[in-house]
Amino acid sequence: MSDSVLRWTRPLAALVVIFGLWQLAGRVWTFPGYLFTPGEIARAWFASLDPETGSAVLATTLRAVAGFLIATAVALPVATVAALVRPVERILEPYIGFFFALPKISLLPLLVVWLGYSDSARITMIAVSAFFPIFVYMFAGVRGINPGYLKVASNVGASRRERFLHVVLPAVAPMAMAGVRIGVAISLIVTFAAEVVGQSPNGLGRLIQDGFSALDYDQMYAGIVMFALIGLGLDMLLRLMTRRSPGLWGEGVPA
Amino acid sequence: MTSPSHVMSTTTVQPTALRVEEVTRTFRRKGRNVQALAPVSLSIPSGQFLTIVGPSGCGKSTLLQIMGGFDTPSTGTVTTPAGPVTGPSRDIGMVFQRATLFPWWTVEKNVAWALRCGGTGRREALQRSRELLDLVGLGGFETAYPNELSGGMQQRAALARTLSLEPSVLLMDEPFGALDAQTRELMQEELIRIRQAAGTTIVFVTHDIREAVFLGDRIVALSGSPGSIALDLAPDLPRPHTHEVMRTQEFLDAYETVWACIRDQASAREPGRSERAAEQDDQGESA
Repeated sequence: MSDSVLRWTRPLAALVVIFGLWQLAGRVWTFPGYLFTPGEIARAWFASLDPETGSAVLATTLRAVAGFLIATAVALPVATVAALVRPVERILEPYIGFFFALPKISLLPLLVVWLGYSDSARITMIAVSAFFPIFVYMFAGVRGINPGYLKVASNVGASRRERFLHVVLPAVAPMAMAGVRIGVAISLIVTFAAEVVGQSPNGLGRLIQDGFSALDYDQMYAGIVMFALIGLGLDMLLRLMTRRSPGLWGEGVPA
Repeated sequence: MTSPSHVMSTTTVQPTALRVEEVTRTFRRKGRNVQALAPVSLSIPSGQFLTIVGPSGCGKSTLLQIMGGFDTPSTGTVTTPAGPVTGPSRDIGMVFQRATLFPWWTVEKNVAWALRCGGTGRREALQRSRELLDLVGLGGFETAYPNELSGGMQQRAALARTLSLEPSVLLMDEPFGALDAQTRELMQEELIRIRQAAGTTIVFVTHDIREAVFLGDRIVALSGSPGSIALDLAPDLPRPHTHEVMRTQEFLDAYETVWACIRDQASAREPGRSERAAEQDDQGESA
């Protein structure tokens, strides 16, 4: 009881202290117009809660989630096959190596040339960026399956289906989830870039960029907070999914 | 397929549960062929508790993997009354060095899964799983997750899972190697008790001579490398027994015989064999 209370109260107390000092500093010295105190940020955020911001949040979330889902849907199976089938790994290896280190955002102008200033270009950009962390984690996960698990599966005469569903999938789940969580974070980062560089007519990237052009700091701060909230929300959603099975998702998986 | 009686007898000849004939194994390592096993032949009568003992890297683990169908011999054959061993099957159960329980399931689900894979119905599998966990002394821990159990308890659960296959031969690859000394001794006595109850033929690999002599009706010492049988001994110890037996002259004699054999073999080998090389051998074996 007191343990769980402490777990919440400690970081909360730290937050209050830090924000308090920050707020206090704003009182003591006069901050320039572009430097907000926590109170001002909160005020700006509350003031921004209107349908227009709502549609921006929705547009950004949809783009990020669409790109992320495409990346996940491609990366998980491709990584699984690459990890299990040597020739496929050999074929993919040089491309993965080349594109992994490439700042994917540098492809955006090219994508715009191909697909125009469209959501196709933006979402492709997001999907390409999120693909790599998910691929790399999933690949490592499948490769890292304890060979003992597979031996047990053959010993008990598990069918291919039982082997895949009951052994391989749960064994890679923790690594897959790690990759997916990073994929979500990357998706959001790239969504902002894709909205700004990709000349998006809507979305939080547009909102922040407009705030910047108009020197409307309130709008910029509000947009940033919204971005953080989307990221927090999506990550919490993923973590909620992993709550359901205590044995699964890495808890108690030997290193 | 199974022996008509699980009662041990020294006078009547038991049918052979597993026959190893002229088995060799050569690994390819860094572009060179390394022979891990010289031709090895062994005939294991049904119901026998055979221990295979030898230093690290002598090929004993490789031999066990081949017996279980987890590795293929370079030449030679392994056969059971059911036919040649061409791959892993439920007829030959393996307990691995580290308990390979699935951490995403409770202990009883781990055992039940093995039964389900053999076609047992859901309810019956769970029922049988609980009986087996009771047999290995894990009654009350059915719904624990593997990471909530100690190393010894995990190995008990893994043993229950393998016993659920009702294998005609039970292979054990240094199953107590990772346990502390006290737990280890308890597990050895437990294994003797469980073996009395289940009556399975057991092949048990260890590098611990005391363990080998204590557990085995018959002790085979392997020398490396390549591994070959240096000694095949069936000491006449009272059965069943507890660790009390270790104070008897028969035990000490048997221990001394095995130790002398392994020491001679070791000194005959090239001196100054590095730890690292031995470790690599071990990894090669378990891979």
